Amino acid sequence: MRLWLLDADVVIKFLEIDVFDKLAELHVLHAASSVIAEVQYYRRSDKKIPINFRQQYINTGAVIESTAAIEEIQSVLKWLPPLKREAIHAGEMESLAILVREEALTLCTFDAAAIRTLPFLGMTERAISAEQLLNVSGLTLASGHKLDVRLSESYFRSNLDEGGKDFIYSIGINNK
Amino acid sequence: MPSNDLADRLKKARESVGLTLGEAATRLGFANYQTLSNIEKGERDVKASELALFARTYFCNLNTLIMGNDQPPSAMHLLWRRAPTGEKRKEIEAYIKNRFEQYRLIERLLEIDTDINARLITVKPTDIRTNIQIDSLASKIGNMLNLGSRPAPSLQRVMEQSLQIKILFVELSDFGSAASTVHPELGAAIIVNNEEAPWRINFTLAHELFHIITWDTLSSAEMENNEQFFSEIERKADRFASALLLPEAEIRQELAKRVIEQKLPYSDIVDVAREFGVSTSALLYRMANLRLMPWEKANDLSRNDELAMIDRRIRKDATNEAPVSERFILLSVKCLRKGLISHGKFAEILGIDRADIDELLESRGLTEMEGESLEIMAS
Repeated sequence: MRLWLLDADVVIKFLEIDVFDKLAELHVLHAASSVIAEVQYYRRSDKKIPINFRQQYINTGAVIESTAAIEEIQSVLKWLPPLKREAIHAGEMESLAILVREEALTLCTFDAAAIRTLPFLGMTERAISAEQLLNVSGLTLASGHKLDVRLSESYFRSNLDEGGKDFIYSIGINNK
Repeated sequence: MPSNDLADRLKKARESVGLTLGEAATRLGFANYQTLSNIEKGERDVKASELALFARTYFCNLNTLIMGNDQPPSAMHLLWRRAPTGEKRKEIEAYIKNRFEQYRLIERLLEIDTDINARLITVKPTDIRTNIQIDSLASKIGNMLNLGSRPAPSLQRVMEQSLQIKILFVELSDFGSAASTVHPELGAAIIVNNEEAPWRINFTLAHELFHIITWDTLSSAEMENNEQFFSEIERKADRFASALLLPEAEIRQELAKRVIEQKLPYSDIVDVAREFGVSTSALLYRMANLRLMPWEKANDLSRNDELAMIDRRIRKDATNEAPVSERFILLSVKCLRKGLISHGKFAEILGIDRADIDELLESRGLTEMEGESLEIMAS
């Protein structure tokens, strides 16, 4: 799978639960430059571990870096209502812009606000929950570890539904 | 092809914080100012990954930087207790405005109205001419806000929750202890030096509350340009703060309990000040304006070494934690919980690393998940 890591939280969480390297072996991982710059630390066993993500994963070719032009970001932002534009961060903006351009990528995120922007960009079908990604990759958590609710398929679906409602509501507002 | 519009916006954003090309280039991490100069001339593309850095360095909204702004926002006029001068003022005011806008964004996402005028009483210039009138206004406000007999402990919470005044704790260092503003779109805000002791913060909040209450009454431009007028208003704001935090009846009652043969030990003075959440000097001056001692005596005592030593000893257990706006944190968490802001945005507005979000929530006993909903019976 050509997998797009939408934001720094996905990267940080996969590092935290120790599945990132395995995912990098199984899939072709992509991330935006802004997202790469945002990954500074992750936590494991209550310790904050610094990481030079660029050196460890980009320079070694384990993750492919992509960048968006400002015009691409502007086009994406125009599709979002003003308050939704304000609700996302620089990394997510660049990520979404690249996704619009690169149609073969499957994206993974568990950020509720980011998931809710997907219906506005017509990218609902290209997204996958972290739980589903782990399942299709044949990865399971070590015994005693429970999957964070935010990574679950149900959390992903419920936010996708909310985003869908927001989108329909925004069309209604615009048509008034 | 580079966008000239974006280049112009970047140049204006840099100028609005008073940075030279060289200073800005250094802060942005460019090897020399030429790169930045080329960006501002539209001769070099801006990388998307650089945009967030520009927004952070220039204290401006990332969306506005990228998309431009059809309607220029209303100017923000900050009433400083002691205003910073020169280019530093531009920078610190840009930082404050950025924080103010982020706070307002959180409220807008949660559909919270900020009409300050709807929540406060109307004050006319003739209502605050005399000390008696100011004391009466303080008493009225204290009652309206249900501040009780010890107003200081609940003042910040009430100002934030009931009046929806945004309290921004900022490292002001040499720029005095505070500023306030009332903005037509962003609402009312008080900027407090986060290095102040808790009891000084209480007084500052009460002092700035006076300015907010009287914002439409007194021209802030006039206050800035007329030193004598400004001093007089500041004196009134101090009087208001003193009367609000140290209600006459409560103070008299508390002191009466401790006075023996018309004498009040220094340690009791500090204890009472501590109990009312104010500095010892604030209590001494309040005692003077209640005619419990002459002003000269209050002045002398506020500089008395022995009293200062007792004050330090009694207050040594005072919290060293940096002050925060609980309301801002709670509203931000609510936005995160409801999926109204991303984790990246949450970390940005709270000024923390993304990897620390869970820790911050845990440390405050908060959770990101909404959990099941309880059905409430119609009454």
